[in-house]
Amino acid sequence: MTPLFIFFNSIPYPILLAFLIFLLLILLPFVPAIRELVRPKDSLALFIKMDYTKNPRYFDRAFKDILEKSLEKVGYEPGLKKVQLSKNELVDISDSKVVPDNEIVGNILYVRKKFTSGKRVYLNKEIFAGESAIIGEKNVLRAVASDGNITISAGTRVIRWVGTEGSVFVGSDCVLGKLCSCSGLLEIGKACVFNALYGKPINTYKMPDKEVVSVAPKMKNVDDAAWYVSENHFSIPPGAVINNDIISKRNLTLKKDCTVAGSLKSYGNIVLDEGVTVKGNLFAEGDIIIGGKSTVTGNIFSQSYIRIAGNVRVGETGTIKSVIGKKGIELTGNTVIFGYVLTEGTGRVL
Amino acid sequence: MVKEDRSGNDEKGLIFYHRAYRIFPSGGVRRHTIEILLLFLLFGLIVYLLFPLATRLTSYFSKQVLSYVMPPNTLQIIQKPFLFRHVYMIDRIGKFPGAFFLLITLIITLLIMIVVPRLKNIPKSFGTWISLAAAINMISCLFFLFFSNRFPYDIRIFSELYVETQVIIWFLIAFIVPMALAPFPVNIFLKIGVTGFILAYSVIFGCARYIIFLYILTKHSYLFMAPLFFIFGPLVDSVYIIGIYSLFISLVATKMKGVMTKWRWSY
Amino acid sequence: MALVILILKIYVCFSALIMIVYTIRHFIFTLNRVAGEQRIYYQDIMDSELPTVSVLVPMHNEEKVARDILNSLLGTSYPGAKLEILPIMLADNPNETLETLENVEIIPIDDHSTDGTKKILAEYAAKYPQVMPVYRQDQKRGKARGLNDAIDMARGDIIVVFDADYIPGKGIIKDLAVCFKDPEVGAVMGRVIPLNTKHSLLTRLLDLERSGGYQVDQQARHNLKLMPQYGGTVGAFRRDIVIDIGGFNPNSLTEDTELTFRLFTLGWKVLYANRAECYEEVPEDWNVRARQIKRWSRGHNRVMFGQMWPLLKSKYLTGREKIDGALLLGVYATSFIFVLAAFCSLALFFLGEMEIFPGILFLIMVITYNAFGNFAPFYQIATASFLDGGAYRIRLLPLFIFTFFFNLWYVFLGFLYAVVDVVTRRKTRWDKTSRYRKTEVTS
Repeated sequence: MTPLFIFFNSIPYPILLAFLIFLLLILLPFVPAIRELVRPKDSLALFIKMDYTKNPRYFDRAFKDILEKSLEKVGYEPGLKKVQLSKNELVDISDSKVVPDNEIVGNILYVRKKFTSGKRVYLNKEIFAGESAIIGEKNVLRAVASDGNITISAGTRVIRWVGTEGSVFVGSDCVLGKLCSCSGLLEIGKACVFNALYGKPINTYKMPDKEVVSVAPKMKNVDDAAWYVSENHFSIPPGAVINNDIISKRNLTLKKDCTVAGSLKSYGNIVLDEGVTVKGNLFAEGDIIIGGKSTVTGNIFSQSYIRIAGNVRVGETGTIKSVIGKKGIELTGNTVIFGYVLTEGTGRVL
Repeated sequence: MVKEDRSGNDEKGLIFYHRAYRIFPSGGVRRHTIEILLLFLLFGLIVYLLFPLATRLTSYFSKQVLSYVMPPNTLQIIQKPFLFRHVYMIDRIGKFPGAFFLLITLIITLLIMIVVPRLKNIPKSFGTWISLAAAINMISCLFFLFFSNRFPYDIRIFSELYVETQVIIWFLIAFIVPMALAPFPVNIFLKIGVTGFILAYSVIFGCARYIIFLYILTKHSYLFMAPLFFIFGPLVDSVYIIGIYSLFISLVATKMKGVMTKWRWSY
Repeated sequence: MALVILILKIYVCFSALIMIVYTIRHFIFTLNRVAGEQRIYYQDIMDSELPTVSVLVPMHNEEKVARDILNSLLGTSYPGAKLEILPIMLADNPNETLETLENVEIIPIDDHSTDGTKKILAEYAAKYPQVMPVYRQDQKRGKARGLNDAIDMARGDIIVVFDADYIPGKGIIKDLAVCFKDPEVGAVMGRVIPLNTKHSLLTRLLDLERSGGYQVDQQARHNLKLMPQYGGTVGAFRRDIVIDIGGFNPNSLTEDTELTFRLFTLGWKVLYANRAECYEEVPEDWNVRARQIKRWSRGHNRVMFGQMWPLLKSKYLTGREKIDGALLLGVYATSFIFVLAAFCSLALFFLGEMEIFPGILFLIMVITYNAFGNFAPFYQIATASFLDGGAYRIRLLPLFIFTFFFNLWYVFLGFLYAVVDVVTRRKTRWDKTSRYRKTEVTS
């Protein structure tokens, strides 16, 4: 009889049982942990895409690349071909394609030259057009890529993206999916909705010149021409010239025709009244409101909303800058943005 | 015009959300705070109403089990006012360590403290735990060696400490577990179920532990009271609380894995 | 004796209060991270006019990992004319004028290496003109000293620092550098993700701990406009600020923490970039881990002694920032507070003064001591893993009890060392973390 046996035998059974229950209740919570340790099901390092870079031209280029690599295996002769993309897909290859009104197209389209669709067409898969793509009015399409220009007529809804090496011309009342990007000019009509835009530059619709309305908040008993500081507000008078960065804990307003050679940052809202020039960047925790005929040469970044009035210029020719409003962006006519526009909420062209 | 849909439910338009700014889809900070308060009120009330019964049952079962090793008439169930109600506990005569037993324990404890840190095949983390437990035991041994007559506890006082601590653990479970569960996108009834399960587990565990503690203290000696309380006391409660909680959250995560539409993004 | 008992009880109450404060703080962070509005970082900004950057990589006996990081950096997508990667080199002629920054500048800082590190750096320098190693032989050793030497020689406006065992992705340098368009930003920290998670219990637990610390804690501090910490690697700062403040403290073991607080007290901000992720190696050996946390604790507590007062009297910080900063500085002191409170409780126990009040408080202290350690509480880790898409790894949480005493002890020791350092003003010696990589990860 081993000492261990003698020891356990000397303990009364009820106590032994209580001890075993105690031991079980202590050890039981460890069982799933030990199981995961011994037979791991989730032990890999978190995945990091090592080659990830922010690329606004990613979707259409990646799509074209994957599609053409797949087509190389089956050939480019016109007709229906089965290819393996993320899953098995049918690709309709043609030199040119015209889709009549009210059609529903369920295949991926690879068009070497020109693609045209009529009105109220449903294009449920991606389209690639080598030379150009003209999307008719009130179409619903998943995505379109091209090496040439893309025209999107009024009332069309894009589910995912639009991308081209050429230029994009978007009519009014369109929905532009997650990203509308091009290597050339991007023109957007009135009443369009977007998440992200990229163009060199991005131009909103042309609107007639009208009297610019001041966007600066009105303050009672405050001389408009004065420097004003209150608990919540910091206001810079019209025509002021500042050659520095400005960092403000308050709401920040720059009145008409101010010039700032530096960046602005506010923990509240930033309001640029009409005709303000900022040769730098804007950063705000609150809203950014940019009045008509203002110019910002740098980036505009808000954790809230961005509202840009008409005749505003963001960036400069030859540069890429960004307008990023986390909750939403509103653009109006005659606005030129050199580069990238992004919102996590909804972007609208009013 | 497309209505803004940030729930990720529009599958055709869905772009996979990177983990960097994902947030849970269910409600905001205020909603979660209200949920925590409601659950705490619920379980706080349950614990407050039922703790006398729980301690009574614990004492009863402990007495039944301990009656096998000691005369039942030496085990008394007594009550004491606590938080405007009563708690129940066991009173009995305990045992002071004899000189020989004390010396043997002291030597073994010292050996453990010297040898264990030097053992290479024991993980350092485990070794540290054993060393600290041994250190507390050594302090206890030294106390009994020099100040045995000043030992302030008997079984009754120990039982008071133990049972009242146990009740506070239950209140803490009623607060910490809802707090820890609150942020997760799970049905509130499941959260109630998990909290209730942990409380029940705590009651049963507390009862088994009470029996073991009393057995050791009455049969072997008060020498082990300090290490039992400090090492196998409230710290061990954290193990099952976190164990059950983590298993539950893991199951929820497994169910939600790969379901991209469940996330919101940034606000 | 009554007075002694009273003092002991007051101290236990005080400790329990501290633990409760930290618990509440962590819970606020957790709730904010999962349900509150996230303050997004600037990684989405696309700008054709990015600042010039010098990448510094301190190295001491890093032959196992040197090639991986250099290959990764050479593959970066940062505009080529703007990036300088500098390993530190002993200039033969310190007065020699360096050419205008034209290309990528990588500065690996070889700090008294005795293995094959020098050879590897020389090989890369010969092949890639943008790799300009700095070799430190005669100067005193130490990461802070090495960085100071390299900063003097670097030509970039922005300094990015990676530890040698890191494997940066293609776009991370741009993600880190772009935030300096914000005029208030002095430094930025990215997210660190362990690569060698599979190795053992220790690495798996460290992976969870890192998740909690970055995905929840740092991001919540960024959301709430508190004080995210610059961590000394996968981070960047403005070169001219660091030169203005006299560079890194050469006696500091946690020069990153010290920089964080110096920046904040001078009115700069530190941002946290949750999207800028980079792989690292975590210790695979408990002894190495013990030395690591002891060093962190010692360094951090020294910073606490030095920076607490400037933090509290800084005119640039809000009340909330000061409170969070003080709590952040005290995070490695909590072990000492807890251990002392445990001794007090033990004393009260043997004095028969344990009654319910200090008993309960001891209990509260134990359970709320961030449940198993002061680096991240269990609910924070569970939340972080959940957000990361993990599932089964969350089940490992109960195993943290085995690191509880371990962390407690070595953080406690680090605190004691820090006290001795401050009182005796002794100099510190840099202790490098071991590397484990067996094969090249990149090529």
